[in-house]
Amino acid sequence: MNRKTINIHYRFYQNFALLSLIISNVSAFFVMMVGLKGFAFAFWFKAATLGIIYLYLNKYKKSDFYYYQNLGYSKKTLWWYTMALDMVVYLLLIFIYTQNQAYLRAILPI
Amino acid sequence: MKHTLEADGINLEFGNRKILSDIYLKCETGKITGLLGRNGNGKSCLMNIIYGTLNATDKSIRLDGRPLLQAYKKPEILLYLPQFNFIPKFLKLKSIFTDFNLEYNELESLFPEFKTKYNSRIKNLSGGQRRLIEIYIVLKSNSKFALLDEPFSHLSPLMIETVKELLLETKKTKGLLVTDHMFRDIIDVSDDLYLLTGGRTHLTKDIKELEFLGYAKL
Repeated sequence: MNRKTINIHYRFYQNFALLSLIISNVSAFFVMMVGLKGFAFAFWFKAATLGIIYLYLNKYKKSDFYYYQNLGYSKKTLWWYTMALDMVVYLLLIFIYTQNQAYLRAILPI
Repeated sequence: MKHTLEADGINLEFGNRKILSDIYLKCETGKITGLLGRNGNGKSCLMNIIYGTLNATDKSIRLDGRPLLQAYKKPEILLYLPQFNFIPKFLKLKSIFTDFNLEYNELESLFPEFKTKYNSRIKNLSGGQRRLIEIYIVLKSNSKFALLDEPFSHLSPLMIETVKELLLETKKTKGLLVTDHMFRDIIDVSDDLYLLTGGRTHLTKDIKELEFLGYAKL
């Protein structure tokens, strides 16, 4: 993956990165509070919200895809890479939250 | 080297409604091919079929006689300007020109009004300026052909004249297929002119045919 490809995917990811990051944090926080037994619920919650984002952007931002297509990046490629990155970030957050549980519980008002 | 883009045997139906019927259209590098037609006659559908983003019942898209599939994945061959704005609103002109490997200075020399806009987001430009940027990047980017769907919409008369000059300049290196409702401007710049009516394309030899075929009063 060259620099241009990374830039283009980053631009596309900007469409939903903030919302997705908030959802990932909420979901990871839930896993930290409930323990790993809550992972399945949290994972499907995350997957469902990603599905909603996917449908929303495909419907309401469909004209933007012509920008990326004119650069040689298909809709499928954009979604594949950004969703994969988003899931990696999500799993990383769960790892960070669960590994630092004691510290987070001490500093957060919970 | 001269290149040819052909759309042949295109049929498109939505339910029982036949939109396009056995369409043939040829576009060559070094030429501007105009496509005229009334609203709902399938001009945009035809462009999307050529670009590969709309499936037709039957189609054969050829580049230099060889099948061209999924043209939207090959910007070095074909670029597409849709009839609506397509650049994401949050992008800055700086990023857009970086993405398309274009020199901003050239835009500034052609359109001095953009001299202070390098760091502006596309959403902060006027409708006409936004359309002008879209036309500019499609025309200036490296490709053999470009499809332009309603490039003159939202443009002031002065801007239209500048875009027409840009089209004539670009055709030296590219083949252009252009459609718009401003038919006089299309006639002005076109080398070949097709009229899409009744689901079929008619290559017009004389612009009086446009009147004869019921498209316009000249």
